[in-house]
Amino acid sequence: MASTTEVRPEATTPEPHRRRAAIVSWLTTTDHKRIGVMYIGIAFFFFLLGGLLAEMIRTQLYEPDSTLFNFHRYNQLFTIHAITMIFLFVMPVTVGFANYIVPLQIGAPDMAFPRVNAFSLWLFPVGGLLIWSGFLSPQGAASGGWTLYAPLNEKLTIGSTPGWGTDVLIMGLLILGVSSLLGAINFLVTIFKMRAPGMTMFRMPIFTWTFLATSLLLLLSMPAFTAALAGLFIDRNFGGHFFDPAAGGSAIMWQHIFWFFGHPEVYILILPSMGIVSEILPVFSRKPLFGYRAFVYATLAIAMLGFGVWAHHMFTTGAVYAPFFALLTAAIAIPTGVKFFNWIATMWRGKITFTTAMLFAVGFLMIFLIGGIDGVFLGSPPIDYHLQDTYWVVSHLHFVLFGGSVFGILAAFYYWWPKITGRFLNEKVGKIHWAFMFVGTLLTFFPMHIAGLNGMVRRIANYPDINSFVLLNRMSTIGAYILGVGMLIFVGNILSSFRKPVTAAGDAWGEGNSLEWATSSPPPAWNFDELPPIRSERPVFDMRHGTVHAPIAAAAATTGATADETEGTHS
Amino acid sequence: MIRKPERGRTRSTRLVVLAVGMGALLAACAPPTITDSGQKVASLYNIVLVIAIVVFVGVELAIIYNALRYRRHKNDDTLPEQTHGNNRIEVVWTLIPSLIVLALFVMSMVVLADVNHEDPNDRLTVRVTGFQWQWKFEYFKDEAATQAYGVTIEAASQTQPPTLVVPVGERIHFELESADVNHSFYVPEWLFKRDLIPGLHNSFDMTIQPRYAGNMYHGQCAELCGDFHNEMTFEVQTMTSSQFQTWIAAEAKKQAAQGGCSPNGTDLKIDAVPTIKFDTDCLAAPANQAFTIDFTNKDTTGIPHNVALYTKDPTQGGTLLGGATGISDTVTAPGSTTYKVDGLKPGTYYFQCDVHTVMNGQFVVK
Repeated sequence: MASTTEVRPEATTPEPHRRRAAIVSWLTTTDHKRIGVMYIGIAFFFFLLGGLLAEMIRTQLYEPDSTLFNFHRYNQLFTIHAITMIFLFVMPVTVGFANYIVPLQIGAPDMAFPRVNAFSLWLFPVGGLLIWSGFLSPQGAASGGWTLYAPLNEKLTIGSTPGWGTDVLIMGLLILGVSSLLGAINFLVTIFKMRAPGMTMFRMPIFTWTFLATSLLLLLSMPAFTAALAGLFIDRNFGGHFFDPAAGGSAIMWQHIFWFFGHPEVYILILPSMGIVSEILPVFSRKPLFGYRAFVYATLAIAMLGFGVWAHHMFTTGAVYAPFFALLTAAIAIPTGVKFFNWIATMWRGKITFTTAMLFAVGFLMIFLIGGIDGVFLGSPPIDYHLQDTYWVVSHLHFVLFGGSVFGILAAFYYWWPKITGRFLNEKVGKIHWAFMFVGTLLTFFPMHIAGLNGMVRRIANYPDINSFVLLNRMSTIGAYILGVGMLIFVGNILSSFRKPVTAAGDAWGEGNSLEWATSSPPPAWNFDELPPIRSERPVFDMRHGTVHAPIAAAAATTGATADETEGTHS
Repeated sequence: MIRKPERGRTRSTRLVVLAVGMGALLAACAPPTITDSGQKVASLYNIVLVIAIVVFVGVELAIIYNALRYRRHKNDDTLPEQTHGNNRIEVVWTLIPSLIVLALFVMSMVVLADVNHEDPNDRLTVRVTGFQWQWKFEYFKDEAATQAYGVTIEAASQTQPPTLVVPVGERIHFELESADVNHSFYVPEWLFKRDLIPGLHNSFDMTIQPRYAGNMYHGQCAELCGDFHNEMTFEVQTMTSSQFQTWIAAEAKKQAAQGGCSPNGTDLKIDAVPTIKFDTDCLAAPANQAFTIDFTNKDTTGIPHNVALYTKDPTQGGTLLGGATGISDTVTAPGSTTYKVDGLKPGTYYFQCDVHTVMNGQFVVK
């Protein structure tokens, strides 16, 4: 982060500042763009830390009976790896991009509550450092899994989760929860109330739509999680018994509340990346997104159904009505399928340019598909009885969160880097980076399916030398190293981009559709000197290619005609 | 003449791709299973796998074909046709996945009913107790688990997992209980696991197919349960019905002979040893005489234990007789203490570690 702060140009400030003044101005800023950059920078720092933990985990598993880390330490590694990647990387980095891009995409000068926005930002590193401070505890960081199941995390039993590592984790998550809630409200108000004239809901870019859905999910799920965390903290430190069955509490209740949050959380992690891909595919195919409205409805359907499937994480508890949750889980595959077909149809008969951003978007489609399909197996309760808590689940969640979320985020880096910094990342290096990520992801996570299918359970520091487990784990470990090298290449690409001059035009790719491309790169503090007329979901495209069909779209908006009718006239 | 070697290379490349594909396909098929319901789960899995492969290959080919076919050529600055969408196509590709997932759902429910079916007339019942970080298996002659065989299987030590002995060809009823945190009872070859959750009663029925008698299988806790989760394993030994009857009769006799002990003075000694165990499951004291219990905690450093005497198992209404005063009165390893206890009337009582109630035994006064 420090390097980002120091070398960032002061193009947005009217007069040159000395370095110290520049740092102070960054620390005290309420500009949504600077807040976005800091979110991205800090989150990226945590991504590197979380990645380091992942490499440590994979190194341990290279040998079936490795003694590199003792069991207690190993449990800390995977617990903090998950917490870091979910709460300190994917969530804040997407919030960072949304902070930067959403106000630009709707033609707003800033977020609705700029100071609340700054407060949300600064809560994030506080929570993150608090969580990581657990490693300073004599008993180490939290070791009870990111799911924090009770009663393992109740401190009641010996050899489970001693020390204050888990307590700072709970406190950190509470702080991050407040940050997320404030952020969600801020985004909802911004999107509902601060759109530029002409920017109707159905002209909003899909990234803005997905972040609207993400904010709704956060707003509705985070309070439940916060309450559960508070209960757990009271149990651990003040003699509460919310989740302690020995004293009348309920251990299974933790799982219900946790997954009532935890499943929407999955969509909180993946929807922004779906939005990013939906921005990039049309731009580099030179076509509009196929089925814009269907896409919006699919996004909202996923968000709604996301609240009705939590207990599919709990089939093996024997304490849930499996048919209900299996049916809704099956149903959620439908809008996801619709999205896939729309993405592919967007490329169909397009004129595709393979920039690195486009490669990551196509890579997202190719790899996320695996995470969608292997999830269908888990959605069938009898099959889940076998696969639950095995490496199949580890594989599934990484295809979704790495092949999905992270590929989308990397696409966003390449796509919006010139907008944010005025400089392009090196495309040639970017393509090498992509190749490492693509091969590394498949090699790391695909063998885990086979290991899980043959009964290798997750969260174990050593594993039996049966069923080719050793071979499969070595493949995964080598894949993880390839991913590590890929990320180093990416870091090099980022650092070297700062040596280049600021050259990016306002419409940096020359193919932009949405309003962030209608202002300079990077934009001025006030965002827009003037806004183009907004007559469709692609105002910058209309501006570039003439506004032949703009009056028709405008007429449709006032008479309430459907998008499909206007779409007919578009072509 | 020039084409020949090229064609050969293409063909060998194709063969390699085919071989790798077939290998991956074979590895992705349902793993071997030994139970009746496992066979049904395996068939369901393989059906889902076939559908998954068709969808996967179809969609991936569509992605790759579109990405490569519609590449923009250099200096081609024309805009393609600006297609915004098509409602009819949207309906079609909403309906097709709907039908597929509905079919999968119905098939899943049929198999689920079979897997979860429990026959109320089972005879052999095994009560599985999970605790940090071991298993205990107790055998009963009836579904309600009231008539014990007098056979309890426990691990000899942390590194020697216990062996669950089961007969083939008959329904076995399993009762699952946890003594501390969540665990999960998992035998990969059964294609089945079920969680052990404190405060929750879980059970299931399982029938192992007769042709799998005489084999050993590996089982493991599948739910993270603390530091030694990794080592919470067990073995499964399958036997024919008659072999099983012989085994359990002999085992019951052997365990009955080991039970009970006699007083030997008023200075009793008991140690806690790694991991989470007492060195004896029987203590004895002379009737109506005060006695002392020297307790040494030799368990892994940092683990607390105690010794408390009860009229019977306190979870079944036993009351405290002496020794430690409760869960907060412990000795952390390494350490020791001496409990002074007033004289007791003759009878068979109960002692336990209040922190780990799976550490318990008979207290004989005579």
